[in-house]
Amino acid sequence: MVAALATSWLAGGAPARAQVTSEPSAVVFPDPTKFAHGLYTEGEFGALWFNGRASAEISPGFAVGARVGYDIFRFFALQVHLMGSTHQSQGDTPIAGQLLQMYQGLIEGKLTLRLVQWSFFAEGGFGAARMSSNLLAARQLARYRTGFTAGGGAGLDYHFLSRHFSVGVRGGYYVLSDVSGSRDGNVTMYLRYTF
Amino acid sequence: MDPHSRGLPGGLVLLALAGAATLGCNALNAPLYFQGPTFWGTGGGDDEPMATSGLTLRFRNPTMQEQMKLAAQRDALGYDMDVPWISRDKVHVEVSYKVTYRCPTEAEVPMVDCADLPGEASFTLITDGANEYTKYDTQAVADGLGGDDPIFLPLIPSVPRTLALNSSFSGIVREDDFAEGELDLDALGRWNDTDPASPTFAGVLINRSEVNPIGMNLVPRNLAVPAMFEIDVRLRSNAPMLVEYYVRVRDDDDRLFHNESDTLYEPAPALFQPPPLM
Repeated sequence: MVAALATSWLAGGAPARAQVTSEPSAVVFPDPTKFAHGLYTEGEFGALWFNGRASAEISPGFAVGARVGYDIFRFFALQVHLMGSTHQSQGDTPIAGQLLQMYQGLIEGKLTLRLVQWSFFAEGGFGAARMSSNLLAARQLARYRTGFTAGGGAGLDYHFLSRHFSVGVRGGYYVLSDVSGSRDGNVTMYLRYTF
Repeated sequence: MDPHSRGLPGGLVLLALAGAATLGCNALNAPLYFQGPTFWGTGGGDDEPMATSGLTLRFRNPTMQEQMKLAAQRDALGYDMDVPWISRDKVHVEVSYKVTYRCPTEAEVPMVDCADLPGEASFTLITDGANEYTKYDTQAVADGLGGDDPIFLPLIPSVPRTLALNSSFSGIVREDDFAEGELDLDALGRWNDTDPASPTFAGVLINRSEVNPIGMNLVPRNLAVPAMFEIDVRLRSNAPMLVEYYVRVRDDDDRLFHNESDTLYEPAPALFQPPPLM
């Protein structure tokens, strides 16, 4: 008992270490800095259509795609984008009703502006587009099945309370160097997972 | 496991699904289209030769390894005939066509008085052609058969149609139509049975083989059927009509000639001659 009294005097003399010295800042919930960033993948589906000369002969079609990217900074990422879409030839030609697929592979840069769970982004890049058949060439709308493509788009992303998942919508517009006087546009929904 | 990497399999599955769908679509559907020369049928009736347009598909020669494979296949099949390089199980052909009934310009078909054209006219599209061994020509067969009224026995017939003036009809000679025509053509060329009880000519042309195998007595059941590499489109009509067509080819083993370093396969099929009428 005596010893306890003696040591309590010693402990009472130690400096306090957990004092509140200022008002806490307003709580931001959820805290965007806690969202994962770095390597990510995205799966998307939506619609893709042709503009220009090819639009008269090729119908809009279903598109499915994927992206793999890396957030170099919170506001900038580099990504690889693969997309395939399927279409039907149309119009008053003997080969109306035939199926055609287009595959696009691009390297893209992406700028992001984050507002808590929402973010707006713009992206753009270049790569190659390949047709599954020479259907467009047979209609004198293309010379080769593979050609250069470049373009970009923008979108809106919503991050779940999960550290990893977000969803969003995006639209894009791409020039197709090999398809005579034509471009393609697309609108897709996506699910993103950041590792 | 790192709690931050718990979703890793999910992300990879997502990516793999998208990739597989893309590659799957590419592998399933890769036809090539060739535009055939557009032509006019003059509507001269049976007195004039049928208007015809042909398209020859170009194939490369088989490599040494492929030749050995064909020889091994020939041995395995057990009948004493070559295995075709352009075979039906590797090369699938289809024709998409459009027939338009309108008044031609003077440059297209001279001396047609548009006022004399009937309000409706009928046509029949006929598809002939050749495989590596035999060529079939409906017109030549009709000429060979002779007679006052020509007898047309097409290799691949289509249903006769009627068109109003200034209208058109689009149709397809499907892969299964070609499959039947290719079997008939090989039966006529390499397995011709002259037995009057079951004559190959014209039994195979009139009957669908899987329904009535008349004329197929000599055809081995395990026959490797040659595909047609030459496609001839003919038109019988009673008024001037324009025919546009495309040949669609699915080439499973990349046998079409498109690389200049390959050499061109140049078969020389013999024209089928019908037996004289009794």
